[in-house]
Amino acid sequence: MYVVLFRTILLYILIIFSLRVMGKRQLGELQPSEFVITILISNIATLPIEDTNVPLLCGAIPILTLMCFEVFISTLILKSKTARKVISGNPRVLIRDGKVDQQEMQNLRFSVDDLLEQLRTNNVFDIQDVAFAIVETTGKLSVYQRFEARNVTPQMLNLQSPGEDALLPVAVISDGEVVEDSLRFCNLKPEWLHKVLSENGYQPQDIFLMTCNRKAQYHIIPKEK
Amino acid sequence: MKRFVIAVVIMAAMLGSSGVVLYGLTQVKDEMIASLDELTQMVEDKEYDRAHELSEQLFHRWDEEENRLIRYVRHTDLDSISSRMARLPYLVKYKDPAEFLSEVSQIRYLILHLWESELPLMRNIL
Repeated sequence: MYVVLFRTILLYILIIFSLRVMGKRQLGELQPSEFVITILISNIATLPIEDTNVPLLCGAIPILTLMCFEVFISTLILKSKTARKVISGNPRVLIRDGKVDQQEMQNLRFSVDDLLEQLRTNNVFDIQDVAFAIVETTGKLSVYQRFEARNVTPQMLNLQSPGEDALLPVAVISDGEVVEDSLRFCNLKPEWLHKVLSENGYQPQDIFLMTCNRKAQYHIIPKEK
Repeated sequence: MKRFVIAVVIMAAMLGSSGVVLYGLTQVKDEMIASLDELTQMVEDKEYDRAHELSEQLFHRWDEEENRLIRYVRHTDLDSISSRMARLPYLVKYKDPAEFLSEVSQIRYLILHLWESELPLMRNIL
């Protein structure tokens, strides 16, 4: 049993290392080659765990090989447009100027139900609201709505920007620990933080989460006792 | 670029170490086959005492090599050879040449098969 236990831990560490080197994105944003690699790695890792007659190296070597090839392929894709086209494909336009390209949908084996589902996940419930819909190489649908259907923006209402950077809240205390980088981002000093906490009757270790922006507007969530 | 370099280094290390492992396996194969041939000759010449001593040495030698091979060869393949190797000293001691030669032939075949299956040949890859 120890053998299986330690093999599992070692392979887990190896997979984490491989994913870190590959620089994985979220599952929904994987390119086809990355998706294949992810599935292969997960299947290969189970072989030495399930069968203790298989040497650990017989799991580690394929995982590392796939990781290396993934890095090589992604570097190639970065440098070569042709390689990008061959390996990842091109985005395809499904709706152009409000008109559904039915031939393209057939080519992509994209059904009407698939299209409507993807539109709903983009918060579009009326197909008439869509000006352009593009299927990305990851299979995700990107939607550009008609002007009339778009959400109102401050620009449309001629509102002045307060400065986006100033209002971005960052966590200055996370689970009792002060985050020095966030304090520096907000251009605030630790003395200010301690003063604020004292005024509210807290110590840093009492705080579950404290957020703050560059205008020194803060919000405190204390830890539950 | 850093990831690319890391990947190249890892790939080169794996290719290099695979070559070293194959070289080591070839050495083991050659040594074992030579010893088995010598053992066979001794038994055919009815030199049972020397053959018994050599068979024991061979078994211990294989035991040492197995501890190294076990890192990259399927354990069941190694176990098959080990279980047959363990019989050899007693087959020689109790003078059973027919059974002994049969076992030696099997061990020979298994060791050669073990080595051949690690070669980067098309029939192994496909």
